[in-house]
Amino acid sequence: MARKEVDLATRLAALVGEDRVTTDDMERTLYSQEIANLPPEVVWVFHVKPDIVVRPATTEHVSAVMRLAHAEGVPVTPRGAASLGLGGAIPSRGGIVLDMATMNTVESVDAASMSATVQAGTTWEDLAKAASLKGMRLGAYPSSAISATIGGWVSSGGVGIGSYKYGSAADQLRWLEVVLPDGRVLETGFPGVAPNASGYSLMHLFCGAEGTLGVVTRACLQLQPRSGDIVPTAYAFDRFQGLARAVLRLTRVPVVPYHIAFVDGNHLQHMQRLGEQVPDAGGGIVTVALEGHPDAMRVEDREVASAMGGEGGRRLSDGEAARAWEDRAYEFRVKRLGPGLVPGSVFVPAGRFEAAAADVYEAIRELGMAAGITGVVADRNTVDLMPYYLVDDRKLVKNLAVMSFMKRITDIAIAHGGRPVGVGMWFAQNLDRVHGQGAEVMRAVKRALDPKNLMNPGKVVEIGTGLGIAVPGTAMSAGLELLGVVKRVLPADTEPGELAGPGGTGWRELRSPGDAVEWVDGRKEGAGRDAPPPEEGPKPDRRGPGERGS
Amino acid sequence: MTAEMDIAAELDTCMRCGYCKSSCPTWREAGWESASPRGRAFLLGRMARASPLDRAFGLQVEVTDRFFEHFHYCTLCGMCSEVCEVSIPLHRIWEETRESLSRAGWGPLPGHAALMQSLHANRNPYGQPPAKRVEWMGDRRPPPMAEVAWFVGCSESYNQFQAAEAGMRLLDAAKVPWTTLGAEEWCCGDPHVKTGVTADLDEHARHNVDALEATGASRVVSGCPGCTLNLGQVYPRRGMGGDFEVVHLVELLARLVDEGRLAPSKRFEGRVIYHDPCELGRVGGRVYEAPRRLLDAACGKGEWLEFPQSRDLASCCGGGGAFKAVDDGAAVAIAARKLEVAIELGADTVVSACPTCRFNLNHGVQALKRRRRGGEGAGERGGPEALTAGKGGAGKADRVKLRVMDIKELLERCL
Repeated sequence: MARKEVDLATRLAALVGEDRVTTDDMERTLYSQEIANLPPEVVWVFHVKPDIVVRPATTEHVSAVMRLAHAEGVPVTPRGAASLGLGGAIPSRGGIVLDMATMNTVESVDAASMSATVQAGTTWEDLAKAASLKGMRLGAYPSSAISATIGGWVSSGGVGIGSYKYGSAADQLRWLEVVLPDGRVLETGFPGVAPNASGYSLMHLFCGAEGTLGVVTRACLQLQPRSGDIVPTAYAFDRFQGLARAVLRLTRVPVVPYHIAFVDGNHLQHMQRLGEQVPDAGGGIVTVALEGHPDAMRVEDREVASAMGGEGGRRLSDGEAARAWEDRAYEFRVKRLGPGLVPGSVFVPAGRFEAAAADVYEAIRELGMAAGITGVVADRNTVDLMPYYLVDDRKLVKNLAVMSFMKRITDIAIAHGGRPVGVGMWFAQNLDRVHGQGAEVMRAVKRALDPKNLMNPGKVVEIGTGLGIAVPGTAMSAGLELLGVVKRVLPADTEPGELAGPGGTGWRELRSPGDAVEWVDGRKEGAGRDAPPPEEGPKPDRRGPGERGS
Repeated sequence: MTAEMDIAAELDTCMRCGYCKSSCPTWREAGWESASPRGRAFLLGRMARASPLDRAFGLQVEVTDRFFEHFHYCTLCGMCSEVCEVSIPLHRIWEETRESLSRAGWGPLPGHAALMQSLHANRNPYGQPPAKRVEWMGDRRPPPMAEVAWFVGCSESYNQFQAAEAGMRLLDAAKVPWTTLGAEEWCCGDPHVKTGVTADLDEHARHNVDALEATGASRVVSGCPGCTLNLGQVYPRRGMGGDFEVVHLVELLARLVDEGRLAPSKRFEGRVIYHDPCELGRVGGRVYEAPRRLLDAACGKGEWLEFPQSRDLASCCGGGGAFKAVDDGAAVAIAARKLEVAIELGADTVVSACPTCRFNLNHGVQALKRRRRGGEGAGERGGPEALTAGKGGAGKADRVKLRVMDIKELLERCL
C-alpha cells in the first residue's frame, strides 16, 4: 500500500468514521468483483482492484468523500449490489469504491402521498416489504430485487418485473438526490407530483448513467395500491415461433397485463437437467401476470387467453403458472450446469422478436454453445431478449470467447432496430453505434459535470484501462470479433444429443413431422385447437434487414 | 448432501448475485463484503482454485485474522443457502470451513474459548457444575427407563428453565412415560459444531447416545432445535447415531393434541406471533406445521400472527451459530430488528420453540426498551426499524409491551 493511499484512508476515516474505511487487501480483492466470473487475468488490462473501500452511511458522508476525492484527483466507483455484470460497479483505474449497500434505511413509507423515501442502498425487496406493511406495493422492480439496490437499478435504467404496466426504473421515481463529482448535493424531481415538463429533466440524466455523473444517495419512489394478489397465468408452446407471435399479438390487445415473461425450450431442458419438473413445451412458456381490480383482471385474463391460444398456446395449470411466477427471481438457477453462465440482454421491437430470436439461435448453433433464451416484454413494442450461455468458465479461452457471443447478439439487436441493454465497462464501445451524435453530447455532459474524469471513469462514455489510456471502441470490437473466431475453432460446449441449439427450440424441427405431441389433457397437437400450429417446417429465411455481412 | 461434498465445485457455481448477502442478518450488522456469504464464498472459491497467475497479480487469498473472524461473523441461520439462486449448500460449507480452520490452528475466538473451557470441564457451556443441571426439576426424579427420553439440553436446564418446567407439566398432563438423563446429560455438542472446535464432539456424542440407549427409549425428544439437530442428524452423519427416533418436542406435543391426550381448556389471552427457529425449520427438519397446530390449539385456529417472512424464509433471531459469544451487541440488534416488525403487526407475545431464540429475543426486548427510553434514533439504521421511527412519537414508543415465551409455556398456560 503506497503512502499516498494510507494518508488518504486516514483522512477518509476522519470524515466517515474508522469502521467505514478499509485498505485491507482481502476486502479490496472482494470489491474488485461483481456478478459473474471475471477471468482473474482481466487485471492485465483493467485496474479493477480499489485502493480503498468506503461504506458511507449518509449523504453527508458521500458528499465529504467526493469533495476529498475531487481535490486529490482520486477516481471513485459507486457500488450497489454489483449484480449487473457489465463492469460498472468495479474500478477501471483503482481509487475508491463507495459501497452503498449499507446505506439502506427506508426513511418513510407514506400512504397519503403513495410514495416512499429511501436511501439508495435499500434493496427493492426491502422496500417492497415496507410498502406491503402499509398496504401498498411497488409498480416495477428488478427480477433481482432480493439483492438489487434502488440506486443500482435506477443507475442502470433497467426494466424488470411489472415494467409492462408500470415502466422502467426511472418511471418509479418522483425525486432523486445525487452527490455530484465535486461533492455538491443535487436534489432533482418533485416528491409530491410528477417530475415532467419543468425544464431539463435532470433526474433522468442519472437514470442509466451507471454512476458516471454522480452518486445516487436517496430517492423518492411512487407506490401502487395493493388490491389483492397478483395472479399469474402461463401458456406452453410447441414452437418458439408460436411463442413469439403470441407475444406480439398480446402487445396489440387493449389490456395491460402486469408482467409478461418467457423462457424457451432450451431453458426448460436445462431446468429438467437440474431435476426440475417442467411442463412439456418444446417452444417454451409465456408467463403473464395480472394485477389490479378483480373485474379488470377477468377481462385481461380473457384477452390474454385469446392472444396466447390464437398462436397455439396451451394454458398451464394454476400450479404450474404459480411456479413459473415464483421462479421469476431464479432464472439463473441453470448456472449449476455451467458452472459458468453468461447472460446477455438486448431490446428488440416486438414485431422483430421472432426474426431476431431466429438469428440468436443461428449464432448459438454456429458457436456451438449450450444456450437458452429468456426475456420479458418491457412495453408494447419492446422485447427484452435475454439469451444466456452456459460455459465452463474455469477455462480461460472459452471464458473470453463468451464476449464474442455478446457482440453477436448486440449486432443482431441493432440489425433488427433494437439495441443492447446496459453499457458499463465491457460494452462502452457500443455507445457511438447505439447513440450516434448523442454519444458526443453525452461526453460533453460528462465533461461538464466531471471535468477531472474521476466519477466512475472508464465506463459508458469511455473505455478505460488501468494504464490510463482510453481504448478506441473499434479496437475493442475487433478484439471481440477475433475471440469469436477463436470460439468457432474450439470444441462445442453442447453435449451431443442434449442441447442442439436451435433444434431444441422448435426453430428447426424438434420432432419429425407426424410425431404428434401428447398434451397433458390427452389432446393431440393441432387437434381441437382454436388455430392450427402456424408452421409446419423451418422458415427458409427469417433474417431481417441489415443482416450480418459475414 | 454427503460428507464428501465437493466444496470447490459447489463454489464454482456461485454467480455472486448477492441474494445471500442482502438476506444475511449478520452482514447487515457488519456491512463489509467479507462478512457476507457472497464474500466468503468468493474467498473460499479463490483459495480452492488458486492459479499461479493469481499469485503473480497479487490476487491470491490467504487466511488472515479478518478472514477467520468473518467466517464466525454468522449465526449459521441458513438463510443464504435458502435464497441461493444456484442452491449451494452454504450453511454446510460454513460449518465445515469452521472445522477446517480450527484444525489448521485458527482460533478459538475469545468468546468461544470460554465456552469450550466450560464444556471441557463441566460438559455444558454455562460454566455450571453438572449437578446443577437437574435443579429446575425440584424434587422430581424420573425413572431410569421410559418409552420417551427427554434430552432437555443445556439451555433449558441451566438458563431458560421456565421452558423446561412447562415441558414437564405438559408431558405429565398427557401421561407420557418419560425420563431424562438427569445430571448425566452432556452438552449435545452444538457449540463444538458451531465453533468448529470438534475435538471433543465425538466423545459427547458417544456418551449421550450410550446413556440414551440405556433408558430403553424408542423415541428421544428435545425442546431445543440444536440438540434435536445434533442427535438426529449430526451424530448419524459422523457414524454415531443412536438406536432411537429423534424428534423435537413440538412434534410429540402436536401429536398428543391431535390424539386428544393433551387438551387445552382455555384460550391464551394476547396477540401471539410465531417465530420459526432456524434450526427447527430450514436448517433442521423443516418442522413448520407442528408448532402451528399447537398455536391453533392455544390461541384458537388462525387467531395468532405470522411474520411477513416465515417458514423457510423466516429471518433469524440473531442468537444462533455461537454468534452471541462473538458479537452480542449485533446478535441483540438482529433480534430487535425482528421484534420491531412484531410490534408493527400488533403482537404482544413472541412465541418460539427454541431456548436460544427465547434467550436472544428477550435480550432484544430489553434493547428495544432501552432504545425507546433513550429516544428515537438510537437505532443506527435499518429496514423495519425505520418503519416505526418517527411515527407515533414518544407516546407509542414508550410502551414496548412485548414478552417472549417458549411454545411449551404458551400451551401450558392453556391447560
